[in-house]
Amino acid sequence: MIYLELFWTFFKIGLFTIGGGQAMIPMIMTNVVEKNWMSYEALVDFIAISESTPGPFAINIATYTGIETAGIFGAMCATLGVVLPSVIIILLVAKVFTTFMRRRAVKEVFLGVSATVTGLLASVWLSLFLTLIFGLSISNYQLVGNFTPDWLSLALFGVVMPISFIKIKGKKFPPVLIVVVCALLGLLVFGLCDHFGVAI
Amino acid sequence: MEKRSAKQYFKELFLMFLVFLKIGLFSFGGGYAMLALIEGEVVDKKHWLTHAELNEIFAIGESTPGPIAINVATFIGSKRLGVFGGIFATLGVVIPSFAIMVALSYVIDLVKDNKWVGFLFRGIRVGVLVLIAKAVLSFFKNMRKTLFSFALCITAFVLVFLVKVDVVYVILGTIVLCSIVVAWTSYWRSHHLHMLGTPEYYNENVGKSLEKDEYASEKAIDDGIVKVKSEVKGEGKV
Repeated sequence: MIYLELFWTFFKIGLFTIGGGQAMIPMIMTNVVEKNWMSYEALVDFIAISESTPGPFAINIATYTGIETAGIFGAMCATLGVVLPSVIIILLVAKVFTTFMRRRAVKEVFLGVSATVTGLLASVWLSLFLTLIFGLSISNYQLVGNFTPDWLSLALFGVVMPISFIKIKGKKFPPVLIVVVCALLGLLVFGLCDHFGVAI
Repeated sequence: MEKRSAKQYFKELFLMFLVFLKIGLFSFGGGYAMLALIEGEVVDKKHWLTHAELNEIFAIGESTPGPIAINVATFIGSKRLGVFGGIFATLGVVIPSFAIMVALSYVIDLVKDNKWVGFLFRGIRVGVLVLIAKAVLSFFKNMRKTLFSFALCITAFVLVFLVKVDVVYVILGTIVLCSIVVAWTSYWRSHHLHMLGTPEYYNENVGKSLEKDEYASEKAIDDGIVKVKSEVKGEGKV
């Protein structure tokens, strides 16, 4: 049953996300795309959307996957799934384990997990880079797919990445602004190419 | 939790819900961006917590599974109003996101075949590439730079990128491996310190390593070392 499956998948995702919403991206990528709930491109678009709408990333992506897969009730199941592990664990922690969580041993383990998550995110980034820019993916230890480089996107990346390090009034460049800048540049660049008949 | 009448309790629950509804509605850019907002509402305006308490809650929210925003909301709610407080605070954070996403999914379905929307999204995909690259960098910056951490990071990368192992197993494996390593190190330390627990040895070796240790000042230091320290210094029971 799709509702149960949505609930269970997002329950698992909620349970194994340590270190915030972005640590969730690797697991969502594999689970949601493998189950054919959303295409890779749709998911990537959606990561941008949920970074530029208010609220926690996890809730946004669970709701959206749910509604795209099984309507409003699916959205509720997915959201409940992603929230429930947190709520249960925190209620327990708040009651019993506050001192346990402060223990150095627990912190050491979580430092280890955050090192792993760094590797996982790097893997997601490289897959995404290969797919979006060169049309390639990894399967059975080999690069597969047609080599169709998208130089315009690569150039766009080369321009926006340095911009994103600019600090505004001593604060970090906000993610929403990155998305907005890219959207506008995309409209401009790809629109101009389309207008003048340049193949893109 | 203080004692309250039932009427007051429900009023407080509703207030808790409203405060987190506001936080959920106005927080852009993920859990960390939410900290400032929560601080403003919960600490500065409502005085439900002190800054130090909030920092501790955030540290716990970071190192427990699940989205940070949900962890922190549940924690603050349950600390003040018990289990229902936790649930209402979480509902408050979730509902704006949920409603906005449901509305947005209809809009996206309407416009997704438009040529210009297509161009827009080609640009936005590059934005995601930038966002994830930045996430990798910030995780790397916060990673402890030890050989063990690098080994974990590279192993995870290879397992997921090339071998295509399920991410859940990689994280579970890390938790198990780190637990074993931490338990073993702690056992080794306490065991050997007992063996070598003379004042001279302590001053030479343990004292220095404790000074360097980032957690040494915390209350929750390894029982073994605390015990040795008190024995060595002859200060009696801790």
